Amino acid sequence: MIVEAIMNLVKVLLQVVFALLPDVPNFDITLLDSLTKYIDMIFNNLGLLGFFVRISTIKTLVPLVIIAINFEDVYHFVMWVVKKLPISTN
Amino acid sequence: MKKILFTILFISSIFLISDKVNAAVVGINTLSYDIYENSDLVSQGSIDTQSGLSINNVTYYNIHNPSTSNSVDIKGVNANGSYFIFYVKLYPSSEFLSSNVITTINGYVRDNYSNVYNCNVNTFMVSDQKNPDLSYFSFTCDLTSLGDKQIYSFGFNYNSLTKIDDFRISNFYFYSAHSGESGVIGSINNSTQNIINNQNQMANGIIGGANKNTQDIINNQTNMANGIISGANQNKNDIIDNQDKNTQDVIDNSNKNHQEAENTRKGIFGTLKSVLESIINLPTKLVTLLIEALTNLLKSLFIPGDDFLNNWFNDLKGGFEKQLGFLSYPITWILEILNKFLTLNDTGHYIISWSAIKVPNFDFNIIESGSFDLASLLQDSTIKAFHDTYLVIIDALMLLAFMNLCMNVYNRIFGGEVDNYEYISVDEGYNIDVSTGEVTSQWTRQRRTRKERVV
Repeated sequence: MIVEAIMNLVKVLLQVVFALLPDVPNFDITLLDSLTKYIDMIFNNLGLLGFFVRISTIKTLVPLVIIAINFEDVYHFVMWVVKKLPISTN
Repeated sequence: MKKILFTILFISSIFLISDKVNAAVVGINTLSYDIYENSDLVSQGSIDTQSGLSINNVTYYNIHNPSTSNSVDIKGVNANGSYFIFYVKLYPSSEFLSSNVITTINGYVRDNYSNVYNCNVNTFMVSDQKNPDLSYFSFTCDLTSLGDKQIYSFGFNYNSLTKIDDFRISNFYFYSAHSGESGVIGSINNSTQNIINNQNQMANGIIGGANKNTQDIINNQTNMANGIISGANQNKNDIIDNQDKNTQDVIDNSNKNHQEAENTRKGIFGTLKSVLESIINLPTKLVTLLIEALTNLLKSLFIPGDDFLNNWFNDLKGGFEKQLGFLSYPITWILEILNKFLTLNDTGHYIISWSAIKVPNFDFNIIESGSFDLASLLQDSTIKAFHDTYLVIIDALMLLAFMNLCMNVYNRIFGGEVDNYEYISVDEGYNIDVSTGEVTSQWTRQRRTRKERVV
């Protein structure tokens, strides 16, 4: 409930701010094609990585690492919210 | 994460279903197709899907040089903002077809404004064997964010290192999350192959018929003999079973009577005991209920609903893309990269491929194009053993590094973080001549020490 309310507030604020900005033009299609091809070239050959590291290990560890790195901030945010709640610990 | 897991499950289920579904083509009557080789149109035609799912007499003989880019566009498809699964079977008939023929492959769709949207590669498998079930590739195009935008065409392009004589395409599946339609959009079969298959089937039919008659006579005789033997065995088994059953019934009745007498004796004490137990357990139950209520309260406070994050993100993404134009592409790409990362699969082939390098202004290649599959090294059992050991060590190192990271995060949050510090200790001394009291020499000793301390 609290998280949903905060996120909705953030969304409304962002939408208000972006509504004030003019529309930015899109990429040229040829440039977009080139960039997409470049990214695809990298990822289509990413299977090569499997020779050096197990893909299953990477797929398991990377999300866990992202969680671990951000855990401190999430923890402090949750504690900040908890401290605002009118619950007595005595 | 939920969305991605759902997408993976969704795609898997569609693949499972797609083989079984032979549904009629819904809403699509005619598809036209263009086949390009290095941007040159080499074949063009249309597919009538009204007569059924199987489209015959459409053959694509793709005779091209190595290292060319080829693409196949199927037009007239309206994806209507949906998931789009694009499953292509290869019918290898060429002796050149091998695991390193196709080096790169990309799936895409185009809308009416020529915007190109890339699809995720789900599977990519080209076998050495001439079997279409072992040679295929598939893409998933998530078009849900495009709304009702008309999709003009979908297709794929690929780079190939080897000349392919006969590259045929079959079975395009789609699933429209928007309208709920599913089925096979079209297939392209080879008429020559059909004729060969028909002839083979006829020949096999004749041979099979002759073999079948002989086999039927043998089977009948064997069945008769088996029938007589099994009848005799059955009678013997029936007698033994009846005797066993009667004995078991006598034992069961005796046990039942004994149990009933025991239950009556324990009935009164049992009721009293259960009442007392209920009274004793009452505080525990109350605490459990209280904990559950608190847990649910905290959950509802901090954990958003199932679809909340998905909807929130989609709303924001749509707004970003509309308003920010090209500035929104980094976000789109990051999402695409994460998606591709999650759909990354170990195919067992680790192919390095390179293009030819030409001398400028001369038609001469310094380095010819080629490819090398690192998996071929693993055919040597010694190298494979080393490689397996290496992977185990790498896994262990990564796990240790992760645990170290977790420990550091824990220490940072809950205390006990250690800090490296250095201190210098200096000793000074004098040598004195005892008889005269004169200082004969002086010395200084400096020592640096590194230590860890808890912050």
